[in-house]
Amino acid sequence: MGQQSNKTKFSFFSLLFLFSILALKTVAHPMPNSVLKLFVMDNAIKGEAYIPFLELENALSDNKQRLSNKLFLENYFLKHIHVRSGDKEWDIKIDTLVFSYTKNEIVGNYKELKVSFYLTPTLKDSLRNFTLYYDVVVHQVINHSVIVILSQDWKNGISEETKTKELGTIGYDVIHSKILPLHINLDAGSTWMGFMSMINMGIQHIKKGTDHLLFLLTLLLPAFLIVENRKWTSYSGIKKGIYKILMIVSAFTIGHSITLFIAACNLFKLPTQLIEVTIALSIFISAFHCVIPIFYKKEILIALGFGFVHGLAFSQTLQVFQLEKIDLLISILGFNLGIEAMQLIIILMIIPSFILLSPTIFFSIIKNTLAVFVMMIALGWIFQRITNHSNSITELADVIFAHTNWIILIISVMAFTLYLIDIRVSPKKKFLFAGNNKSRLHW
Amino acid sequence: MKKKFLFTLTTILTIWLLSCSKSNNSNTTSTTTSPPPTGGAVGTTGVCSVSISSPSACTSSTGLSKILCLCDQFKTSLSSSQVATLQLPYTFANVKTWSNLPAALSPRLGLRLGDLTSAQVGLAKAIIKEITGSSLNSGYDEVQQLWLADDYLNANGGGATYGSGNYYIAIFGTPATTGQFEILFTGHHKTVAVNYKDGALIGATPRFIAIEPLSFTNASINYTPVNQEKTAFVNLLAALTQSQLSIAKSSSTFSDLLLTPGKDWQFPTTFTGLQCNSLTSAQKALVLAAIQTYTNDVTDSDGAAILAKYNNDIDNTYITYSGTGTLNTQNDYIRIDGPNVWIEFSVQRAIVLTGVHYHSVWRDRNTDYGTTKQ
Repeated sequence: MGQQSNKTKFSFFSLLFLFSILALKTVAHPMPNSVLKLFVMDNAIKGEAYIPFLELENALSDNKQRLSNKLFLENYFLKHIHVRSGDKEWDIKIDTLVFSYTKNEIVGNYKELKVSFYLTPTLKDSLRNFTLYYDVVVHQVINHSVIVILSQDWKNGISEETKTKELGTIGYDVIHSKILPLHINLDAGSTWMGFMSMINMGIQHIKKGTDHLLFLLTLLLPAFLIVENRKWTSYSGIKKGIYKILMIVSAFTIGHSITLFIAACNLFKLPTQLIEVTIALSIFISAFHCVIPIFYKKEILIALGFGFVHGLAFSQTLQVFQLEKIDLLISILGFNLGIEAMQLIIILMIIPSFILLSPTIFFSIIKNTLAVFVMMIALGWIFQRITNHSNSITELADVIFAHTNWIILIISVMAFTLYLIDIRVSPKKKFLFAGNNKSRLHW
Repeated sequence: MKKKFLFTLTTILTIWLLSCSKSNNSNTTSTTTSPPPTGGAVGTTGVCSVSISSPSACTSSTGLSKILCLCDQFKTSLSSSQVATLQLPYTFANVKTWSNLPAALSPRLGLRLGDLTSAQVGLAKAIIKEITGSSLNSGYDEVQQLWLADDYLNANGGGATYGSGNYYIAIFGTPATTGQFEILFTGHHKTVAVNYKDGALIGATPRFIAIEPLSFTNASINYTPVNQEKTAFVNLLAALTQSQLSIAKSSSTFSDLLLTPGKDWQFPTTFTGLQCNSLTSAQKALVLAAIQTYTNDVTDSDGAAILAKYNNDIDNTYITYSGTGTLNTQNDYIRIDGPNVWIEFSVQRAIVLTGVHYHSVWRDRNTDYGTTKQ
């Protein structure tokens, strides 16, 4: 019943997922139902049953004192979980039993038992076509029901990060006065679908994973400026700036691609918390650099170095999948392509604003304001990731960054407006395409 | 230099304004409570204190014509958009929307009583009274007690999710002496659904009743709204012999009802438990007494007719129970299932308070939803 390390992030996702399921179903029971998640793997199906402890107690009321006995529970589950294809009985192995507390809006907090098990067919061909005989709790508590969800099927683009599929509900069929098994026949799917869904996942990951973007964009914010006397001073010109941006983005990409590959193949591991805190720290450092240059002309190295760390974070998304060999390599490729594509799109959308703003008299103050704002959020994240508790800053960040497209639009409009104002104020200076104009010092 | 300063100032102001408006938006989207009462609405716990209306236009009519008259009076008191919310098409998808959860957790159709003015609530109450019975502790009397119980939950840890104002009234179809329509009154622990067709009541179910807390005091009066149902079942089980009890007892555990909201038309094809044809007439009378605590919730004359029908079925009616038989302990359960009647009573864990609470459903194997099945 140990094995809880390294699963914190995963259980967090599954909890969130469970909430949404229970909320969506609006099943009218004051007692929570069970949820059974199925994960299709190469040669087996992994099952995760989330069982409300109250209902388990109701089902085993004669054996209440044995509910903490691992062997007793394992035997109970082996008796009440069976899978068959035709008349061939699948092999079943109970993996872990973990008690935890969860919550739903109807019953509030409740204790839950998570049972993980592996189901292996005698013939590999029948992996996608089987009958599930599952009557844990239901055999006794006949108003209880089990929602069966396909949580991972790589070849059909199904995962907890992208989309899941409800396969049905197991429960006492009142009309026929018996518990009916659930027939499951999954689509064959294809490697191509798996690949495409990983690209999509990469895109979604960048869209939602604000921290990666924030690091990169803060690093790019002063790309069009040069440093003199340890201060950001004048506009460097469009060519130099774009060259610098290309170098930084490439370095970041190379950095995170390398570690994504290494970590996704399980060749290297760091504690999740350390990675997450370092990422938040990278944002802070990058924002600090926006105000006071601390690694001017070494941005590429910084992008590469922190790219390594961000890659480790990306890999955790893939580790959830428990993929094998070829599928994993294809996934890494697809996921990375999605990440790069989304990263590129957002950079292309935001860089014109930087170009327009950089030479204006407003840029210094905008840059510094944004940087201070980002530093504040980064501090919030650092604190959150160390303590494992969200705070008002991270909650504010969640709300603000839920509207990324509006933020980009607002920045673009602001950039264009300020650029026009700036031209009116100093009409003689056609600086946009001029290089290194030292007469335009900022304050 | 002045200009520079001015522009800096405007920039800072713009950023401030933008960030402020952002966070304001977030506030409005993150709140999930019910909309604020407008125009003198009675609010979440304001239903009980409103007195019932008896519009003079309807005093001379009785039966269905009185219900139709009261519906008209109620609609006259509403704005056109409120009428559109109240009266919806008669479809199975609409009539099955009741639940045993608070409306915040399982949205209801129709008008929320808490959003209405006291004049409108008074008229809504007049309709509810007319579709429920007049016996003490049953029908409308019981509805009022259950409203008080929900207000009690509101004040004792349940919060705004609970309260008499969170009960809804809806009309499906057009109330008339021809064609079919349903009046649905539904909230957390009480649902009444009545179907009328061509001038007559053709279905008084599904009806749901539940109570938490089992007993409470309001204005120095003690209420136990569902005690008579419970007592009737306990009396019945106490009157059975050991051998009868062993036949009636189910080995399954019931932590909730079987045919909960949403589980419509799923009556078992075979009957289980103790068949009533073997019962003494005194025992049969106790079965009927238990059933009567439900039929009394219907308009008096209709309720009597339904009870007579169930009485005719008595020999083919079955009793099933599980648990201790005292209906005091969690998972205690009893069911009366006949050719027409289906009543379940379940003792389950309390949700807001501690201890146990009751859930009970009355369905009819043939006339649920006025026979509407899809």
